[in-house]
Amino acid sequence: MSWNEDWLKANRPPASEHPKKYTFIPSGSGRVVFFYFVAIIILDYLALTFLGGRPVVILGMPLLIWITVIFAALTIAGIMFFSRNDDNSSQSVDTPPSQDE
Amino acid sequence: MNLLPPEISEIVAANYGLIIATLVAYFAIFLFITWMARRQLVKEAGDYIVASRNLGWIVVTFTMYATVLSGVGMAGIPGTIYTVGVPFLVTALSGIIISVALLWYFGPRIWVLGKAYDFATPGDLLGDYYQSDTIRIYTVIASLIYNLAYIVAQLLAGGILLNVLSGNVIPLNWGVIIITVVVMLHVVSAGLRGIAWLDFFNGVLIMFLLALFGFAIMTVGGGASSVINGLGEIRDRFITTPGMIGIFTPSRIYGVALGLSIGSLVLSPAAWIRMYSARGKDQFKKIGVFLLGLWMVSHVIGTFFIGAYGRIIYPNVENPDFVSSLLSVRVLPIFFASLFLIAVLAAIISTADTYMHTLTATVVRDFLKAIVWPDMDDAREFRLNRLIIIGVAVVGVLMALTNPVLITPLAIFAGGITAQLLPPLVGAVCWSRATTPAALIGSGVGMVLTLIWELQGIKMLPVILPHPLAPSVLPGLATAFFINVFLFVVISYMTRPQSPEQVEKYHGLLAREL
Repeated sequence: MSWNEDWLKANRPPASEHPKKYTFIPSGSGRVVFFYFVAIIILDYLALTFLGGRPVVILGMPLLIWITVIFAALTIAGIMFFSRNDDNSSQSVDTPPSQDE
Repeated sequence: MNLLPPEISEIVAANYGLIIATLVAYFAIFLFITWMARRQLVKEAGDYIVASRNLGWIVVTFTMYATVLSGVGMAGIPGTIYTVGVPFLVTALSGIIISVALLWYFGPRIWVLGKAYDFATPGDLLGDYYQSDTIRIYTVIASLIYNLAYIVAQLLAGGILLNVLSGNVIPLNWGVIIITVVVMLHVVSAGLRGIAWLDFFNGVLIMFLLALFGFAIMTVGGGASSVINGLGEIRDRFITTPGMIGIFTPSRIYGVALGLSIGSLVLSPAAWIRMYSARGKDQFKKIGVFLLGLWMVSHVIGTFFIGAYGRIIYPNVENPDFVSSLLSVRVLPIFFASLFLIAVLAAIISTADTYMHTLTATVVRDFLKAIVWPDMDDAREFRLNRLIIIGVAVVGVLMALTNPVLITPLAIFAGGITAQLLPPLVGAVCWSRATTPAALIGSGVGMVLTLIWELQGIKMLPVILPHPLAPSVLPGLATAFFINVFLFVVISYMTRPQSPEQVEKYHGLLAREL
């Protein structure tokens, strides 16, 4: 039996010496991505709060479903837009050849 | 125990030959896929658990779709829409939408770390980053609770369905045993590659039938507007918040979504293993977008109209989980109705095989190999995976036959347990200030509170610690999650951060690779 709690023995510096470069909210374009997705989630929540109680049907679908469809569309648009350069990026971690496509 | 309603049994009896032929055809394709995948299996743990990190994005998408859909998506979600109304559909979809964004963000990070350090399970990553076997055991506990809850529900539902599809020739207990043995042999023979290939086939079948089902209802019901107007006096409550039972407010919608979708689609050990198994870090954009498209079509066209039309045609059904099966024989041509029932079986199989595989992999890798038998070599790990799945199957059968439960409440609760792993994951991949004591305390408290409040909620535990908020404000699992996040942040700031080497090993690598 081997139970390891190596963090107790590790060299853990005081917080003042901790590098500030890997933060929860990234800098540069990462910050825009973060706030975009936070903003559309808040927008969806507000739409559910203020419009979700209205018994409106548009083109055969309840307004509640339309709110969610728009939320999905904004999410897809965000993913497509913010990763538009990914297809050209190199893959530096070695990978085996394709198998399933 | 609730068996399928007599109306379905009568339809099966009247079309027995066709249904048996369809069932035989399905299992013939199943066997063919198992055989094909078995030919490619390399007898190593890495190939068995993560398919040598070489699955294409379409296969990964469909395996995530078919796995998470399960009996919950085919029976439980339409049944809950029937009971709650549109707010529950919005709950499921909101969670899926946020999950897809999280998958797009975390997927490449988990993949890069998995590839660089040969990780195959959540415990590999979190246990190594926090340098703690206690954290590793948290992932095993989450895996045990989550996977067993789903395995038991799937085996029971599969047994019931096989009993009905065979015209009562196969008794329920034998149905459970047959499904278990078939699934177990499939996993042992073909590993994750076989599971993923079968999920691809099952996913296409399920997607096609849910869409067809929705269009058939619109045709029979005279159009989408007519179906909604057919709800009569309950129409307004059915299509608005807080829904038919009056508690699905926006905060509850988001709270339940945390367990139902985010806990399953992003943080369940099975989803994590699929992120490792993708062929490249650049595949997650396509996986996310395609997955969201599949879910939107399945739920907006399929499960929504099944739940809504079911409410019109069968306003007083005893068990809402059966409304999709009941409605299928009413609105679909008999061939497609029998195919739909078999698609429900396919969804059940796709979930059961994945969760048996995942549960075994996490127990072997994160408990036996990490703690009990540290010098275990790859060949032995591979053999143990194939051996211990027998134990998992036996436990699953015994629990299925002794503890029949409703599907959806169990799924929400189980996802609430895995959702407690989100803060430590954030710490490992994007917030280097997170510390091990914070992960230990935050996740531990989150899991215990989720267990207590959710089990109290479904009356499986007496009230020992009342949930402080009303159900319409937040479900217990969401309250537990926010307490977890709060503790995680506060304790991180109060304790010393990870060592610089550890920070560079993870955050430095990710900064260079992404």
